[in-house]
Amino acid sequence: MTDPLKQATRIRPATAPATPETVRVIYGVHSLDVNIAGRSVTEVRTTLRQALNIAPQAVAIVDGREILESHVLQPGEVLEFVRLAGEKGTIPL
Amino acid sequence: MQEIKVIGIGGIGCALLPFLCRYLNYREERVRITLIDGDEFERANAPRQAFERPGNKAQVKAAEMARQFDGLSFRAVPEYITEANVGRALQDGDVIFLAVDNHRTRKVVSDYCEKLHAVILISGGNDFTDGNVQVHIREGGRDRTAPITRYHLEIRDPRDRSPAELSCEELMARGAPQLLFANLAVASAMLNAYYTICHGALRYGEVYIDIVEGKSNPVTREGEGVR
Repeated sequence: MTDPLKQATRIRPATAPATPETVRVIYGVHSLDVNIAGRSVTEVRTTLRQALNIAPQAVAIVDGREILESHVLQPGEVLEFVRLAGEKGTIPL
Repeated sequence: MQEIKVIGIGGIGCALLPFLCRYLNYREERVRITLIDGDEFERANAPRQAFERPGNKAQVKAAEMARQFDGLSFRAVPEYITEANVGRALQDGDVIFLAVDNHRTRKVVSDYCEKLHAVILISGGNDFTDGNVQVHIREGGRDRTAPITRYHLEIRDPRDRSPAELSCEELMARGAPQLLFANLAVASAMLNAYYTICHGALRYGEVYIDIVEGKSNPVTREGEGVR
């Protein structure tokens, strides 16, 4: 691999939240840093379901690892709800 | 010879192929591209899909690409991928661009890729204005990135059916609104992933794209991120 390409593709997608006391929540292209440390994944899913349109069957991942819904979030963690694979046919704009 | 398989010659496949072929045509490596799709192009698809004439999509598009890119070898398989034919269609060492619109076919392809010693599977799909691309890389019989079924339960346990299982009426009825630009965005993300893999620089297992938000978001999960 060429060095210029290495430098050009230095992607770090699942970086820690901007402030260490918050949790970063990712769903699709959306990313939020929120004060939800101490809450379970289930609680966060319920709270953000409407705001982010999170699918009920979306798998939850914390810091890149699949976890139980009962997992209690710690400051600095990154929670991703895996957006379903595209298959066309959602509501147009 | 490098074998590349493009499964699904619809909106994404049609957007992807000219750029993929142009990129490969001027490299020194010998490449054969196999186009796989059981569907027929009809005039009603024309607003979103570019074909010179009606007919089987794989055959019509393979002939088009062969005329434009004489440095490449092309083959057409005019069939939908099923459990019965996946072993004939895919082999060890393949680079697979999976551009289908149903989870059943994704699962068939993914399950087969998990049995191979080495394979690169780049799967893309979109809804109306957003989409995502998953990358599964196996090397030496080990996963370098996660299989596309691992974090996607809708692919692991699909509730839909393969187009090979649908009647003509069902195939006609399943048409949903699609946007050319979303197809193009996903095709572009699939090619970007391929390019970074070719240069050993892939650092994500999935990327999300939203053309209204103007955003893409690559994500890295357990055991992924450096290649």
